[in-house]
Amino acid sequence: MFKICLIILLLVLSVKPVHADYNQSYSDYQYLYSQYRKSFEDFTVSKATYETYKTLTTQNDALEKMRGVMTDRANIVSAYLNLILEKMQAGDGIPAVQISTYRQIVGTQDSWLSGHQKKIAAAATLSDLDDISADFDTRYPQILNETKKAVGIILVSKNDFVYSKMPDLFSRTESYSQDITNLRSLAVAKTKAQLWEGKRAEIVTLLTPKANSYNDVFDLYKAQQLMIEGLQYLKEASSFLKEIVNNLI
Amino acid sequence: MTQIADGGELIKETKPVSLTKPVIILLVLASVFILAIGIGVSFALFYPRKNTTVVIDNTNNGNTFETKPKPVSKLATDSAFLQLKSDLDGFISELDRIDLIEPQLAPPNIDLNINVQIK
Repeated sequence: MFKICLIILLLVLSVKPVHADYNQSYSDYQYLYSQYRKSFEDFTVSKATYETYKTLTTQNDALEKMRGVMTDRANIVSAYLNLILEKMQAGDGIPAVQISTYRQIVGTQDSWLSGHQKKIAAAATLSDLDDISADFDTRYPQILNETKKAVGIILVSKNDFVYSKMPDLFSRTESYSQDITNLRSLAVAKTKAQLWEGKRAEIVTLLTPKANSYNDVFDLYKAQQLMIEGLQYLKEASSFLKEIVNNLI
Repeated sequence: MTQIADGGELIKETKPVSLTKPVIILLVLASVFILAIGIGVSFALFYPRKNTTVVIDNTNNGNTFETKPKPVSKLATDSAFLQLKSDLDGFISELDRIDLIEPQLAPPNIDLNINVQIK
């Protein structure tokens, strides 16, 4: 009886923990984002008040509000980096090496953000905060580009995952298809599916850093268009398979 | 035991037939069984069969054509083939569920140039 209870407990604990982590991360991320928006509104008001009155009180208020919004901005960026990592870990068919590489990126950026927050906490003047904020502005495009690439990998893996199931479906359908018409349809279906590989190659080229380029920005929108086109080919291929199977009965 | 009737005839006394409970149950079961067989036979004999379909083509001067149904393929009962059909349906529905936009993964709308420009 004790063993049965233990097995049930283990089963309950092992049900999709990664998925639960992602949902929790997304919930935390939404909370931090709303907190950031509020801080930004408070800062905007304080800044306008300081610029109008230029008193010591308004200056101190602007300093604290700026400290608050910069801290919350660093928090939301860190939460976003980790959210993408959770999504990668919860996704199907994402190569372990890609997850590991992105985990290292998150570690590096989190470490930078942590140092950035320490500087924010230590800053005594608005001028110091201006300089620290400028550092963030320089760093953020790099963080954004790396997360965009990670999102690209998550999305492309969805097509890869379904595509990996197609050879089995092709061979099983082929074993029943002696009729010349069905064999022709099967050949068309295979060709359609292979067109995804062409689209995939274009996406990989977009993801690969260009040589001698220091400002290589990944175009996620273009990659998504290629993925959607590739998915359409996979859908057409599966429609051909469905037609063949229906004809066999 | 005999009795003498008024006319002087001898009347033989017969033992009354009594039905015990098990016998009654047996009779009820037997009648239900016979009734069920009767319904089954009637259903088999009189149920309308769909062996042939008559198609009336109104566009062809009301001529009638008799069509035979397509013979059922042996694959219709092949478990491996049915599994393939089911897997294919599942695969198509999986393709339809793929979301390549995922708005949840969009970066946060944060503000750069947070400064007070006191210099």
